[in-house]
Amino acid sequence: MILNVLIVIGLGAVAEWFLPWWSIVVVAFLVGAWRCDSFRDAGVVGFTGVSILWIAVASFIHFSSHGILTDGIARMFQMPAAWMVLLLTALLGGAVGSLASLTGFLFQQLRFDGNRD
Amino acid sequence: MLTASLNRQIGRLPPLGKFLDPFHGFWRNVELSDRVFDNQMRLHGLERPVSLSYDDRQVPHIFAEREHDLYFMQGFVTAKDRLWQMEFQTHAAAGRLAEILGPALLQYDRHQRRIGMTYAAEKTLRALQHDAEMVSVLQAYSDGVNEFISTLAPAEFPLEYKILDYAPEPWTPLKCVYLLKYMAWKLTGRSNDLRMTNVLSRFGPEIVRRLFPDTPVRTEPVIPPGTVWHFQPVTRQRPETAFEPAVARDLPKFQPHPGNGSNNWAVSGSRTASGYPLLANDPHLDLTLPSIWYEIQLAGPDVNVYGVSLPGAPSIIVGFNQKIGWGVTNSEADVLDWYQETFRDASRKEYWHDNQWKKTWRRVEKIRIRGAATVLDTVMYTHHGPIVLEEGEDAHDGRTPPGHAMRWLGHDPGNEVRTFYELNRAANYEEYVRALESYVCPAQNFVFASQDNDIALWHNGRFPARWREQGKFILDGSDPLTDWQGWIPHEQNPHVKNPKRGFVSSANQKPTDLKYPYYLGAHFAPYYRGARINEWLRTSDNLVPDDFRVIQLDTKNLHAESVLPALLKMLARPPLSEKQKDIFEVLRRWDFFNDAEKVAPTVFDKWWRILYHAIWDDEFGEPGLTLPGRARTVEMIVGDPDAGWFDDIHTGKVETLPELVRAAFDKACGELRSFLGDMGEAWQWGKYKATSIRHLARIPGLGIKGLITGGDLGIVNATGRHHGPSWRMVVSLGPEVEAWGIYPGGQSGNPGSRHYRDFVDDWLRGELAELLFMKTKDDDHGRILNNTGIDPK
Repeated sequence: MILNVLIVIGLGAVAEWFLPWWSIVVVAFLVGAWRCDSFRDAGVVGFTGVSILWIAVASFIHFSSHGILTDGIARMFQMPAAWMVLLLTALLGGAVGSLASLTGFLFQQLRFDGNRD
Repeated sequence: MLTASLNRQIGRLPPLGKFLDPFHGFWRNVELSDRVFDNQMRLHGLERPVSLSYDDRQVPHIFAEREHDLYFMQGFVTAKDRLWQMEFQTHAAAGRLAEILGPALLQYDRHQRRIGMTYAAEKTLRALQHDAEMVSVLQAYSDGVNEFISTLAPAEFPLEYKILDYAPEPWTPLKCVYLLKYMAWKLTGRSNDLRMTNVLSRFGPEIVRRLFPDTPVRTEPVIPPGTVWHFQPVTRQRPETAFEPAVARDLPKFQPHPGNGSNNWAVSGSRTASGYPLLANDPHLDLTLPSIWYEIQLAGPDVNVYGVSLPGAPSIIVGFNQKIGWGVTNSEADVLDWYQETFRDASRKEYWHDNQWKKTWRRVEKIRIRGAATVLDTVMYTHHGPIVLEEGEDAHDGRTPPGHAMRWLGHDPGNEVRTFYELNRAANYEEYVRALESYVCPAQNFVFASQDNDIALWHNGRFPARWREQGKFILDGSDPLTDWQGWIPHEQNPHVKNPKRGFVSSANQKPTDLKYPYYLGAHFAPYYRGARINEWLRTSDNLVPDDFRVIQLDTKNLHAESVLPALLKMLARPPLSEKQKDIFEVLRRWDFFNDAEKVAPTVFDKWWRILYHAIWDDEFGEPGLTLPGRARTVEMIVGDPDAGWFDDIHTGKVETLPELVRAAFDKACGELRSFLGDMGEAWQWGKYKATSIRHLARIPGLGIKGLITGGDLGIVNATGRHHGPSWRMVVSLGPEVEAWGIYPGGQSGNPGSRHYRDFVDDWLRGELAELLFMKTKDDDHGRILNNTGIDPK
């Protein structure tokens, strides 16, 4: 499972560097489809992988810029503190990741079932 | 499905997935380094190599061998820092905001189309085609902007594109024209004609003459009083019969704050310590982020100039070169009139003019709306101009008579691009005057000083040669004598060169005394700022640049000085409560300076507002009317305290002025106490006024609130709640030109940059930065942090 999380982070970082933002969805989908053994496994891998990737990059930007933009974005979202924007980034990334990897896993199950018939 | 929905804008929220993704979303807009470009770079479209240097205030200095490359690079670097702002402002001018922001902006867009912005911009661009030189300047600038846009991946779009979820479109010369029309409307697009017409029909000409005088009670004209004009004015013929407009109906809802003012002045070498002229300018505009101004130095084959530009237009608008300095304040002359048209029938295909039926024409405006079907709006034109409001439609601004045609100078093509192009290159008085000839709208007081020890001020623009009071009220569209019959010849515009008093100045007030033979309009700024500046300049000698900074920061409230002693005297009679006595004492001891830490300005401001409305609202407060001016009111309080106007006509008894003054004082104290508690720190002027600099599109979180500063509208330091000095500049001419300046913002339009608002604190403290004027590309005074050599690709 840890390996799968690392694959999401690694592949995701490479994909996002070169491709549009939804490339992370493709990565999580593929990992969910080909490398996850259970529904739960897929959900956890997608969630953890993408949220760790996003929070890591966002935190780096936030702390090395002393939150220059995060404060303003927090006020735009009517949130009382900048860290909530970081949390929102992690949660949203996690949600996107887990839904993608779950979809991947279910897709693979469907194909597998289909092959058996 | 989820991906798709996170990819799309939902309601007023940005598309969350795209927006929060740290690789592509808003995080990507955080600038972690100050580095702007690499040391070497190649760009498509350059003719020769260019040197681009950014100094320690992030101001770009462009050195180009070809004129084309100079304006190409101006477009490129301006877009780099301000692309979103440039495009947003031109969309706003063109009535295209609903494309970005959705149906809520339809009414705004329709109004922009109805006032003829598209018509004006297209007409102006067509006329510009005759000036090949300016066409190529505009094209080079546009190419530079587009070269920058072509380097952008969506992840690198400015933040606001991500928040509002759209993409930049190609830049064109037409957009440069839109930007200039945007400024023209901002500075001249107001009229009091409908309200004055209503007042006239309600109260008659005698009261209009007494309460709304064309010549203010006290004046401090721009051109020194007593100036003799040695020219034969062009003739104007006035209609013989007075016209009674049919409108006089209830409309308006709100009154825009008269906040767009400015100061400028220049002092001749005879009054300065250096023996050379000094010049100052601070235009007062809406305070926004990104700021309306962008600082830049442009050096090309025949030009080396520094100053502030308007993002979206080539050249420097306010600035200096080695030989001259110049600055602007708005003219406020009347260049917008309303005509009541007589249509032949309901189809309105023909209207009556000059004893014949003439044809109207129509222009179909296509307003695209995000998330809704495109709306087609047909705007009808007579030879006067567009019908801005149809019968039965709601007034957008409360000053527009329905069914009337609008004559606005902004519809006439001007060549303001050339004016600034030539001013940037001017070396002496003659070249400055020649540059001003092509300028039409919005008229400005152009202040000037040169190394040759000339100072001058031209009230400059194109002005209709009006008969007296033409356009003060709604005009009869069928009578050709109400048309603008001609123009004041340029050389007859109000101007002054090297006056005996040794200085020139302007602060949006009436340009001349009554000796000037033309009528320019009825609504100019009151004398306050002009009088205060002139008082300083008259009484000072051996002036040094820092004195000018001090004058710009002056907070003396002449309005309070003119009326408060009289009010306090009236208040003294009936007994005051203990708490009120303290407040009374604070006012009595006040020196009339609106400084941030003082309490008296707050009390006076509140008290005056309540009193002013108590005096006038019963007669003039109805929607559709307008109140007499502040200075006229003061004159009546001081000089005619028994005037019938002080009685509240809604009560059975007769109120006296002291009763109103007392009641207003009670109410002011009560309101302040209920909002702010007992008199104390919260009552301090700076805290009470709390200046804010809002984001241009009012996006919350991207502006700054609660700035504590002194001053106010009508004061030399005209910092109000949302308005104020948008660029303070002082130029010292001489063998070596020196200059200082600041604006409340920062060079970068990116909220994720350290340079988004890094000038604000110094601006707030009233400090000016020393501007780096480089003579050559290597003349860096140790202040260049980043130099890029750019080669053609």
